[in-house]
Amino acid sequence: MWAYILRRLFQLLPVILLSSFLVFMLLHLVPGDPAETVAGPDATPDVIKAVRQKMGLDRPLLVQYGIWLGHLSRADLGESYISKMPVIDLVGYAFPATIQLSLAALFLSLAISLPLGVLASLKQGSKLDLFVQGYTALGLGVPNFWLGILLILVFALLLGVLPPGGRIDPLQSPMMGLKTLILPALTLGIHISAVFTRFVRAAMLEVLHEDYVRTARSKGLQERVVVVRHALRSALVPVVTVVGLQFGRLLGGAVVVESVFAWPGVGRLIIQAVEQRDYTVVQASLLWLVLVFLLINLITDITYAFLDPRIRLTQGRG
Amino acid sequence: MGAKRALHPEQHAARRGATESPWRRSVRRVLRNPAGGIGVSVLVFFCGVAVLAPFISPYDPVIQYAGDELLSPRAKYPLGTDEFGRDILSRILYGARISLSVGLISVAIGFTFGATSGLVAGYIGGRIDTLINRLWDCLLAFPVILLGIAVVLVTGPGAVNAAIAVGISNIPIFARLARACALTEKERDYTHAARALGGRQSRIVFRHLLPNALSPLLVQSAVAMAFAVLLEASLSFLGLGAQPPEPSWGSMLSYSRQFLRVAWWYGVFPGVALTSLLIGLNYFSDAVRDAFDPRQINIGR
Amino acid sequence: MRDPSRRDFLKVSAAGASLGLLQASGPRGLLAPGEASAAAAGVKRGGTFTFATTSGIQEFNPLMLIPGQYPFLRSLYNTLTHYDDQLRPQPELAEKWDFSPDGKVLTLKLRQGVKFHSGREFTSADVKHSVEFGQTNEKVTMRALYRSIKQVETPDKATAVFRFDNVAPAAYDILDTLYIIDKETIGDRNKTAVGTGPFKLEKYLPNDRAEFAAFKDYWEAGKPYVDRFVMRVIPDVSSLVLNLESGAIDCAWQIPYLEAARLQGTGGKYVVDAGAPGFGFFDVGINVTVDPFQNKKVRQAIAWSIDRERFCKTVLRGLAQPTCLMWPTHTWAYFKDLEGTIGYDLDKARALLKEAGLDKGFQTEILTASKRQVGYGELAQILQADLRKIGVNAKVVDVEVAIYDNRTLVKGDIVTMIHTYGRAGRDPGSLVTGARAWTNGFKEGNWTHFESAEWEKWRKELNSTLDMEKRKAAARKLQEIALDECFTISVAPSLRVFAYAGYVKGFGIDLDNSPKTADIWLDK
Repeated sequence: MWAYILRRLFQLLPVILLSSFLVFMLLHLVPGDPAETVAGPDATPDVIKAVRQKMGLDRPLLVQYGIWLGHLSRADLGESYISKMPVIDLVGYAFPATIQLSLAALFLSLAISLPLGVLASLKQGSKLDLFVQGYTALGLGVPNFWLGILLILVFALLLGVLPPGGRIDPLQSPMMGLKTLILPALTLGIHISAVFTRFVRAAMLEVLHEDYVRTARSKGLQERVVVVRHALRSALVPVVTVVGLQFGRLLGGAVVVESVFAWPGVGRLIIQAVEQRDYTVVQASLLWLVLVFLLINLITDITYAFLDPRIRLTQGRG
Repeated sequence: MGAKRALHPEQHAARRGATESPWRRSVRRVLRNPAGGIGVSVLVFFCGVAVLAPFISPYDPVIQYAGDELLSPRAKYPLGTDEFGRDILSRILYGARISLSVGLISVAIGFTFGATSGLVAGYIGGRIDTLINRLWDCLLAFPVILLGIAVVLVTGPGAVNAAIAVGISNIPIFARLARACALTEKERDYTHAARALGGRQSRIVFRHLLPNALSPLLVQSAVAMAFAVLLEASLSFLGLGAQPPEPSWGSMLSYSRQFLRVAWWYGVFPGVALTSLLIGLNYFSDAVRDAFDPRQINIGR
Repeated sequence: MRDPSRRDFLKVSAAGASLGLLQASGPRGLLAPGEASAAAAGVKRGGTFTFATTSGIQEFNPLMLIPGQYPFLRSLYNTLTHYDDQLRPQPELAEKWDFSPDGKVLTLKLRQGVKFHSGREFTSADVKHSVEFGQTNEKVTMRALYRSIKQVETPDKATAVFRFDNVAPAAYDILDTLYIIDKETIGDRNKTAVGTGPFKLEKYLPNDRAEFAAFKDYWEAGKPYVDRFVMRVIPDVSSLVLNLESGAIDCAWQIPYLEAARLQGTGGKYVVDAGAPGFGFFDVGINVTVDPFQNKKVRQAIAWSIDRERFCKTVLRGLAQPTCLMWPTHTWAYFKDLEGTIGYDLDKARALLKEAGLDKGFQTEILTASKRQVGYGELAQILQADLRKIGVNAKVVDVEVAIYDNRTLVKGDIVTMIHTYGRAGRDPGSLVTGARAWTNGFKEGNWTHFESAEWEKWRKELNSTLDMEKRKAAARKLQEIALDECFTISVAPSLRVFAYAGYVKGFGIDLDNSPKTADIWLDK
């Protein structure tokens, strides 16, 4: 088991390195640089040049990359070009917001998809099943930013019961914190719930036809016990993998939703930083996102390998 | 969705005596599937709309009718007007062009570059394979939307550049898929035979490996098309896709936000069009997947 | 104390929607100490005033004038004098001031007993330091203005003397904008702030919020009235308004014009303030070195194709009046009789193109940055649609702010562009020296590359004499040249609109849209 984990971790390193290189190079390919923003809108060309020199932006790219890597190895993410705040603070502040949103979306989607998926599988072909299938089709097809707009239209503008955006820290004000969380979490979560529902339903359907379930039933066990104790348990194994994958994507996919609801997470941080050409912030946050994503994939793989020994024994290359 | 389990192509061939072309078989299977039927109809509908837009749309989508700004749906403007007095129905009809063309182009880019590099890498193996694979891993580690944003930032905004961005984000998926196919097919008898007969590498790859990899690649194309349309809309929503006054559904939705309170139609109808197309594409790709190879695990996103 | 020209400026256009008159927010000047006690009667003390806008603070540098910074200026700091709404300087940290007969020496008598938030006493040394900072720090927006001071002398701690090289008619602009900073903490300005203003910084979370507490030892007795002042950043503009309406914030700045118009109709529940006059103007800039714009007739054709009325009505929602003139209505450089010299007339535009031999039309591009401010994207699209009607095929190039700044400020490689210029609210002479859209040539940063000896001559005249008659004549000459050459074409005032809850009383702003939080009290 440990050999597997180590092997996977080792395989991760070149990916991370290459990603960091891509991130760095890409940003410097983009036209416009932070010197102008930092110098201010009324700066003359020579002032901007001086600022650029002071920021070290006129050195060759590879040198800048090397310097950046050096800082990274010392866990120094640098300072934002624009606000001079340490990047680690900026990302550190945005990180909990994104995690909170992702977890809430994940929770909501599981709360929706587990019962729906199980019920639909139990009553296959019925009206309920058709309804659930319609729901998943809709949930998969509706773009999340439009869903956000519709939810704002209905709940914030028409009914006025929920705020249309922004985030209140739940530690400061739990009620308001919850209220600001609902719409964005729903927006993100509905799409994921559609994916999960389908998966749960399919997994349950497979399991329900297995021999041991039939055996349990013929033994006269209560339906509920059969479903929960036996069928659901084994159906959950592949679901775990899917959850793991989706969580990783939730983090990135929150970018657009954070934009719609002005949610101060990593996604919105990246978009703002990109607009201002705040290289250090974009680099650090992109890298952070990539790392988290890779890590979650790794954890998912390990969990899956843990549950299914065949995987870790036969897996050659990643 | 498709309760019947379709038979493996080889079994079908056995039953029909292998006289019918596998493509016709697949097509028929797609259409027989109720989901597939819906999907194909939706797709045909939007393609028709896109092609016939100049003829069926009541107004020119970029003309501003001063004085008619933000009007609610009425006889003169069936779906209302936007903040510049442009007819929303016409803009939605023309918007289909952008969504579909960006979708098609980006899938073509992904398919071409992805499939080629994947097949080559899988076939050749060794260091090159490892290196290219690492590259795909990197690209796949980026949330797709950020990859799109990154590319568009370098190339500048615009529908064409959005298509390139989406295309680039498609490449790793196709590459992975093609590589997996190449790895399997590489060990088959006919490949060994071709090599023994002294066939050129490239000929083997394209003449032999490719056709066998084609079905999963086509399935992936259908799936990728749906994602491509969604990604283009997302990029336009963020202001990085088609530029004004071009009517992209995503950018229409983005602009509608500030007027939601006074013009709900602006935020609703473009979304309906986009969602319909996406649902149709989803149904279509599901049906294609079922038709071509029902037992294959989906390697898509 | 209403200024009649200001009320005209605020009036809704006749053809516009039924919006009613905007509330003028009363006297703009900070009350002189004597008047403080008079206003104090009926004032409720305490509470937290929460203010939000779309952009954030970059650093606590009050001389760096970008929108995210304006809100804290008058809260944390003071200037030497401030303009009232008739552009007359009023005492603040300077109690008395005197020009020498030759106009080159300004002696300031400073207020005594003023403390910084750190407890330190304010002296003339701080004035000298602030001037030096203003002259050298690269982020200072009006550096050129402060550099006109050749020397600062501090004969004693209550007196500061400014020596100018030349006669400085714009001296009061300096006094109104030079916030006095604390040399001990200015090096830490990305984290802390120390000034002499009514509030002191308590907590700062970049891109999110800054919280200020009332400064007990503020020199203006009895103020501020509220206990706390909170500045929040809400980048999404529709959330901003909805936060106001849900009560999460008391005042929103830079709200969409549509929302402002709607909030006006709430019968006093919310109050709308159009913002400081002359704060900014929308303009169309044209590069005079690029084909075919070397011919001024072509530029004039563009000027005649701008539907200013429609822009004011549909985008600005009637909150501002169209104009083709450079200066705002409350200054003496506004020549009412010249209004209307250029209007919206497509036939005239076509005729001008024909005279230039371009009746077949041509291709061009309009650079804009819709993310910078509302109006940028819309004006570009409206102009594009109108240009199409006269045969000019214009592509709208909407880029991020960083690229827009790069092309305009650094490279100057624009063809035509949408822009907003500022520096028009104070001394009229500052506009043509401080705003790059109106300076002489690309060497001074004017991206239109317009350069002319005539322009330079009148610009110099405007800024080198204290004689009002001569100044007015020079300004008028400049205005006439601008209307003829059409390198920067004014369109309409660029408003940054405030909306605040009805229980917010005493609301006033300065010429930089910085709310005078010392005067605010909450009636709830």
